[in-house]
Amino acid sequence: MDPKAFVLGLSALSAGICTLSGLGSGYGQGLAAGQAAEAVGRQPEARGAIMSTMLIGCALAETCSIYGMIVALILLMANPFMVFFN
Amino acid sequence: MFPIMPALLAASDLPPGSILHFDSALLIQMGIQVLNIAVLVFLLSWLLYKPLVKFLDARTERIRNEMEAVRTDRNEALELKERYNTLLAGIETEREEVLHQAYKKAMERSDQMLFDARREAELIFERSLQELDVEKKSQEEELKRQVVEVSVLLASKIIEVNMDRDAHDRLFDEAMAEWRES
Amino acid sequence: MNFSNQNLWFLFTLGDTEIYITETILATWIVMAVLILFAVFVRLRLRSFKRVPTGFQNIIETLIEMMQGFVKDNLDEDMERHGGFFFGLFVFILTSNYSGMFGLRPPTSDLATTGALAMMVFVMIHGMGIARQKGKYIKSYIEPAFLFLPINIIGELAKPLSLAFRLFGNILSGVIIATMIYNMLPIVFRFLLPDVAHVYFDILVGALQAYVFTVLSMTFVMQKSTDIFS
Repeated sequence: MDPKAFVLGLSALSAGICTLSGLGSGYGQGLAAGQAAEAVGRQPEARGAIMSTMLIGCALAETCSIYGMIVALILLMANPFMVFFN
Repeated sequence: MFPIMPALLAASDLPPGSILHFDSALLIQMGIQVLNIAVLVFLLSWLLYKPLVKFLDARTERIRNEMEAVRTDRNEALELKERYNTLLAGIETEREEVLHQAYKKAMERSDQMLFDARREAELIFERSLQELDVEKKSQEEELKRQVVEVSVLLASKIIEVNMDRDAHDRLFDEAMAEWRES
Repeated sequence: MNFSNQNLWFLFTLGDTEIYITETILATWIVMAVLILFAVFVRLRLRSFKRVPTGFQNIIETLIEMMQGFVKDNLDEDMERHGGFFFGLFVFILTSNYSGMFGLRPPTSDLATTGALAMMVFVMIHGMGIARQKGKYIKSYIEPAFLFLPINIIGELAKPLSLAFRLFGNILSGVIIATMIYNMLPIVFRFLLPDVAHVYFDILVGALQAYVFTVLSMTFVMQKSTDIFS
């Protein structure tokens, strides 16, 4: 088997696995949005404050899935293991 | 819009770029970008943010002062209005009082005048009645005197003609009786 | 399909690394030129600004008042004079994110730009922290116990990293998807159909990420320059 192909294939596979980091942040953002909707329902006059807090929280929760995406991009576009083959 | 820059500008003999690369080139490019952004942030904050914030703050301050002035003016005006209202209410009752007084006085005056006029009229009436009486009496007097004169004249004439004592008496009595009847 | 950040001109060689003017740097210059021209224009117009805003003045005032709202919400009295820094960051990030709609590669889709932004915020965080907290700044690393020193240091290093990677990842994903859509469509459809993607990935995500970056950097700066344990 060509070792380069093996590394590339495993890189593609692990890039796919990296996108699973979206699971956690998706769940977290869903929770945040749900709680925010509940809070707006309970206190409609505090809508602006709840929205901005929720957006910040969502952005923070999104960070880990962004990390996953960046690792996937590195594996796909700028594969660090290729240095072993030149 | 479709990314146009590489198609227009990229020289063909340069090595292809990458999405992300962790090497010293990244650090140097980061340094270039720090310079760019620092210049931009400084210029934006100096040219745009500070003058505009100063402008807005000055305006806010001025509007607040004006609002304060307007509020005090309004309070003063309300106070004045209150005072004038109480004054006006006082004037209203006073006016009614004065009117009432004047009405009463006028009524009294007119009663007095009516009474006076009536009394005067009565007086005039009485006086004229008296005058009438006096006139009547004087007329009667006159008439009596004339009758007496006439009768004396008549009698003297008659006497002149044929006078005897009896006839004369009779005539005199008759004349007297007649006069009394009239 | 090529998602990468093209090298445009050769600049210089440092050691054995060759430095190029990349698309990002050129786009940054274009964004800078546009913003500086805009700022000069507004500065010249400021003299003719009236008490009752109309038209163009309304837009500028809304922008400044929105920014003042962020600043007043997130910074304390003493820090408000540094509001211009955060205003500059916000306007630059927003304009960069929106520049994707005008055929540029957004400067924020390159780690060099977001890293530079995060580095400036990092300097701001610790400069402000040292200037305002003095001895308490060093003490804040061993709170609540000395054992937490490595965790605190890692946490401090993670702040600019997460800021940089969040902005970079969001905008880069937008760029990748936009590029994919452009490559998928035949040329005749490239003018209208991708607008749907642009509305979400550039307008919505761009504004949201600019807001998040600014507000988070404000929060981090405030966190380090106020004594939260007293």
